[in-house]
Amino acid sequence: MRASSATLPPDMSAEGRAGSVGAGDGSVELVGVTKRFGTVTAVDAIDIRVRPGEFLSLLGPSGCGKTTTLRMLAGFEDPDEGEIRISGRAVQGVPPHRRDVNTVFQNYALFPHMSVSENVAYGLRQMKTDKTEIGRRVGEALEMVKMSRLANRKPREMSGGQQQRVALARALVNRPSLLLLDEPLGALDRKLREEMQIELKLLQSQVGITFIFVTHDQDEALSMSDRIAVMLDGRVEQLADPDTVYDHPRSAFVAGFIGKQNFFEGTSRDRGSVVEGDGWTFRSSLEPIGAVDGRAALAAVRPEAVRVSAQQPSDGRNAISGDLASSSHLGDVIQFVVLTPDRKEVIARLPRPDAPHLDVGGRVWCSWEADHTHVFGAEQVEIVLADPARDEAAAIAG
Amino acid sequence: MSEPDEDLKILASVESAQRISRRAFMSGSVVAAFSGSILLSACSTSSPGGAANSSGASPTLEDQLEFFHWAQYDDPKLFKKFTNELGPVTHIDTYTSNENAITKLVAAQGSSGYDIVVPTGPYIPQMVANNLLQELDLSKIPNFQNLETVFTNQPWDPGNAHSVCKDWGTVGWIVDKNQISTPINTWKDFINVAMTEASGNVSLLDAQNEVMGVYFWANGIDWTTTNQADLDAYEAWTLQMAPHVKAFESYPGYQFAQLGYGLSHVWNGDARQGFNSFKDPSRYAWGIGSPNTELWMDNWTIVQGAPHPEAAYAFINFILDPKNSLQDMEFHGYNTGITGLKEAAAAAKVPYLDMVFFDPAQLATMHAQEINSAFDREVQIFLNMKNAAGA
Amino acid sequence: MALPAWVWFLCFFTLPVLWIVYYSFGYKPDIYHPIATDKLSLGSYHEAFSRAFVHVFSQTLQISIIGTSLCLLIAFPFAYWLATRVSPRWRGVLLGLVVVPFFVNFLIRTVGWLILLSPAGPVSSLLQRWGLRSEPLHLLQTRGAVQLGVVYNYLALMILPLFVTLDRLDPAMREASKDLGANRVKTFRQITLPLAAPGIVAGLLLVFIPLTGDYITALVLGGAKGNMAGVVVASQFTIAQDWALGAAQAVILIAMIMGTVAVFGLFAIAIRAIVRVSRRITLPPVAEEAV
Ligand SMILES: Nc1ncnc2c1ncn2[C@@H]1O[C@H](COP(=O)(O)OP(=O)(O)OP(=O)(O)O)[C@@H](O)[C@H]1O
Ligand SMILES: [Mg+2]
Repeated sequence: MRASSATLPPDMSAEGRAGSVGAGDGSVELVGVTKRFGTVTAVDAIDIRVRPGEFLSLLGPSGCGKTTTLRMLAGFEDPDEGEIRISGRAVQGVPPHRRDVNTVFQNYALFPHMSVSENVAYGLRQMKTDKTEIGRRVGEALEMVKMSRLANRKPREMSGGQQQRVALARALVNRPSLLLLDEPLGALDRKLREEMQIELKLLQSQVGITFIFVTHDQDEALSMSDRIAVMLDGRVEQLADPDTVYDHPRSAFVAGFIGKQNFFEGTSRDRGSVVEGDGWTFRSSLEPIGAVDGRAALAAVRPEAVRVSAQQPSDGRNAISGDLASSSHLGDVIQFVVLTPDRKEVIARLPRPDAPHLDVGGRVWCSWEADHTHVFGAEQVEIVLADPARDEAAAIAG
Repeated sequence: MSEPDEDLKILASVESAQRISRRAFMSGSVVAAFSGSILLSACSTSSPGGAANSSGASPTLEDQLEFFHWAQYDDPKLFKKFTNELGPVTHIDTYTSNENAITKLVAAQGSSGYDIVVPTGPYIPQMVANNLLQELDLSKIPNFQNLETVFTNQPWDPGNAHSVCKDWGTVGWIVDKNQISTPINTWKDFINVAMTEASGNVSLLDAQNEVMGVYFWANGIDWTTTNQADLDAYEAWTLQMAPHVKAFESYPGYQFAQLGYGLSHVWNGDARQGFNSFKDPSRYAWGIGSPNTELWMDNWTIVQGAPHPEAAYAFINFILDPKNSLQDMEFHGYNTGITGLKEAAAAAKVPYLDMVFFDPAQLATMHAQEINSAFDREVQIFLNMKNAAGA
Repeated sequence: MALPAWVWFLCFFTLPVLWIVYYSFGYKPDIYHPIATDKLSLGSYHEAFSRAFVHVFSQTLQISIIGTSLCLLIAFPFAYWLATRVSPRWRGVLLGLVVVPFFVNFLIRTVGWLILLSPAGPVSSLLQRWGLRSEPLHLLQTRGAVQLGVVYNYLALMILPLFVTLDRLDPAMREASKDLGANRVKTFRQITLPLAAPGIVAGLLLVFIPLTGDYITALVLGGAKGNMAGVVVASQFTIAQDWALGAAQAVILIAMIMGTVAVFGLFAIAIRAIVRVSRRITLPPVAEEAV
C-alpha cells in the first residue's frame, strides 16, 4: 500500500454537513451516559471525551456496549441517563439525519439496489447538492478509496474489502465532523485488514475528521489509535493512549485483555508490594491497584518480561520453577510454556537470539524483575483467570 | 312416528327455517353446501325412525343405494329409517340444476353408478329419448296406488312409464307489508310493484324458468312459447326489470326478514319455511301467481344402468308410504300427491297448509313448462339479465 | 426423478388453458351436450361481446383494481409495522391471527360477513340502537359489500409476501439512509419502497389474479349489483351448460387479467427506468489509476 495513492483531494477537509446541527470541530463528550435494554445495562454511566480530529478506539469483549455507544452517538438510540455533546452541542433529541455524524456499519449496509457511485452519492443527494458537484465529489471519494473503476458495480458484485471501501467513501464524502466505524475491518482477511488499517489511519490524519473506531481486536486498536477506551460490561475500564494502556493497565482486566499476561493468584502483603502464593512470593515495585493486605490479589507479568533458565536465577528476581511443556517458534520470538507443580501455565516469550536451548520435559525456572510485576486486587479474578476451554465446557454443559 | 307430537313439529320447523333445499342454483348451491353440512351433522345424531316393519324385504335387495339428487331435499331421518327397515345403505351426490345432472349422466353413458335421479317433469322426455332412464315396472311399487290420479300420467311421461311424482309445487311471492303498501294479486301487480315501490329491494328466483314465467303469465302469453317475437319482447323486458332487482336468490324464504327484502319471488315450500321462521308472520303476505302460474313436479326415476335397481324400487315404494310421505312433506314443504296427505297433515296440526295444498280452482291456473327449441335462448336471456342487473 | 419445470408448467397450466381456448371456438349442439367442436368458429366470442357481461367485466376489473389497491394500502403499513416495530414474540401471534381465517373455508368466511352486514345483523342494529340510523342499513347485496368482502378475503395474501420482504430487509439499510441525512419519508421512498418492490409485486399478483377470477364473494355478498366475471363464467358452465360460450368468456377474462398485469408491469418498468435515470451519477473523467 503506497501512501501516495491515498492522497487526499483538496476539498476533502472537514467542513461539516451543510444545514445540519453540528458543522463543528468534531469533539465528542459523553457524560454519565447510561443505556438499558430491559434488565440489561448495555452502557453504564460512561464518561468519554474525544478531542477534535482524534482517532479513538472502543475496545472490549463482545457485548460490552461498544455498538450501543456508537448508536447513541449516531442518534439511533437515546441514552437513558447522561448527556452527549458533539462539537460542543448537546444532541439530545436530534434525529440521526440531522447529526453531523456518519457511520461505517459493521456489515457495511450498502444499498443493494444502487451502484457504487449511487451509494456514495446518497448523502449528497439528500442535501440537494448540485448534480455536477455530486459527480465531482463522488469521483474524488471513490478515487480516494481506489474504487473509481468499480463505480458502476452493484454491492453484491464486490468483495468484502471493496464493499468496505465503498462504505467508507459513502460516509466520508459527506465531510462529517465525526465518523463512527463499527468493526469495519471485521470481515476482512488478515492481509487486507492490515493494509486497510494503515490506509484508514493515513486517511484519518489527512481528513482531520474525528474517528471513533470500534473493535475487539487489541492489535488493531493499539496500532491505529491515538487513544483507546477499554470497555467491560458497559463501563470504561481505562481511557488512555496505547502505550499507557499496555504498560500501565488500570485493572487486571485491561492488563489481561491487551496483550498476553501471566496471572498468579495469591495474598497481598506489605501494602501490595508482595503477593504470596502456594510456594512462591513475588515482589512488585509498581503501584499496586486495588490490593488490600491479607486479601486475595493477582500478580501479573507479561510473557516478554519472563526469562527461562535451567538454573535457579540469582536472588532478587521473582522466580517460579516448573516443567517445560513446550517451546515453539512465533516468528522472531520463541514461546516457552512452563507447567508449575500446581498445574499452572506460565508463558514466556524471548527473542530468538536470547532464547536458551532447553529440553522439553526438563525442569526449568521462570524469572522476572519486580518492576515488571503488576499487582491488582482480586475483584476481576474470575474474568482474567477464565480458562477458555473450561468456559466452553461450561457452556456446553449449561 | 305414528303420533307426531307438538314439540317435534316445532323442532322440525326451526330446522326447516334454517334450511335451503331443492334447486340450489348457483348461489343457493354454495350456501346450501355450507348450511346443509351443518344440518346434516345435526340430523345424523337424531334417532332413526320407528322399527315398524312395512312391506316385506325382498330377498334380492342390494345392500346399497346411490342417489343423484338435489341438496337437502328429503328428511335425512327417512334415509336412516329406510336403511334400518330394508337394509340398503344410502349415499347421496347432489346436483344444482337439471341441466347439470343431465350433462353428467350423458357423459357417463350408463356407467354413472347412480340408481335414482330426480328430474323435473319437462326434462323427462328427452332424457328418455337419450336413454338415460329405465322403464319402470310399477308392479314393484305397490304404493304407487297411494298417489292421487291427478298427479299420475303426466304429459311428459304418459302412463308413468319412467317416473313417479316425488312432489310438486308452484311459485308466488312474499311481501313485507311494512315496506310495500300496494296490494299484489297478479303477476302484473308483482311486476309493477317490483319496478316502483319495491324497486331496488326485490329478489327474483335464480331460475330462468320462473323469471320467464313472470313475464309471460303477466302478459297472458303461454309460457311454452317459441315465438321469436315473444322471446324478443321477453328479452327487452328483462333489461327493463334488471335494474330494479337487488338479488337473484333461489331461497329467499328463510332469509327474507333477515335481508330486509320488500318483495321476493319464491317457491311455495320455501315461502312456507319463511313463514315458519318469521317472528311476526302477520307483517308478511304470501301470494300465488295469477291469472296463470307454474306447476312444477319433481319425479323419482331410475337411472339406466343402475347398479342397485331393486333397492331403488324399494325406496320409491318406501317413500310413497303415507306416513313416510307426511314426514317428508313436513321437511320440504311440498305436496307429495299422496291421497289423504292434506287430511293427515291437518290432523297432525302442520302449520301453513294453504301454502302446500291448493284447491281445484287454483290448480286449474297452474301449468307445466316444456323443454323446447326456445330453451337455450331463454337461458341466455336470463343470464344476460343477471349481468345487466349489476349496471 | 425431478421433471423439468417446463413439463410441470405445460401439464398443469398451458394445456388446460389451451383446452379452454380450443373449446371457446366450439358451440353447444343441444341441451344434452354442452360442447361440440366439429365446426370451429368465433361465434362464442361474438356472442360474449354482444352481451351485458362486457359491462360485468369492466365492473370486475374495477372491483379487482380497487380491491387490490386497498389490500396494498392496508397491508403495507401493517406488514411494515409488524416487521419493524413488533417484538418477535408478538409478531408470531399477529401473523398467526392473519393466517387463522385461512383455515376456515373461503365460503364460510364470506358467509360470516353475510350475517354481519345483513340489515338485521349486528352492524345495522348497533347503528340503529345508537341512533345513528333510523332505518336498517342495507350494506349487503351491494357492490360495496363485494368490495369489502374481497379485501377481507385476499388481504392476507398481500400481507404475507410484504411481511417477508420487509422482515428480510436489514434494518441497517434504513439506519444507513438516515445516517446519510435522509429523513423518514425520504428513507421510505428511496430505500424501503424499492427494496420491498419484489414483495409488493408478488402481493399484487397474488391478490389481483385470484381476486379477478373470484366468484364466491360476489355470489354470497353481491346480490344483483355486485356481480363479477367469475360468476358469469361459472354460470355458463353450470347453468347454461354452454361450455363454448363459457370458455370464450374465460379466455376473455384471462386476457383481461394478463392485459392488466402487462399494462401495470410496463408502467412499473417505466417508473423504475425514470428513477434510475434520475439517480444516475456522471463521474468526471479520472486519470487511469494504478492498481
Ligand atoms: N436492541 C437491544 N435490545 C436488547 N439488548 C440489547 C440491544 N442491543 C444491545 N443489547 C445488549 O446490550 C449489550 C451491549 O451490546 P452491544 O451491541 O453494544 O455490544 P458490543 O460491544 O457491540 O458487542 P459485539 O462486539 O459483539 O458487537 C449486550 O448485552 C446486548 O445483548
Ligand atoms: Mg457490536
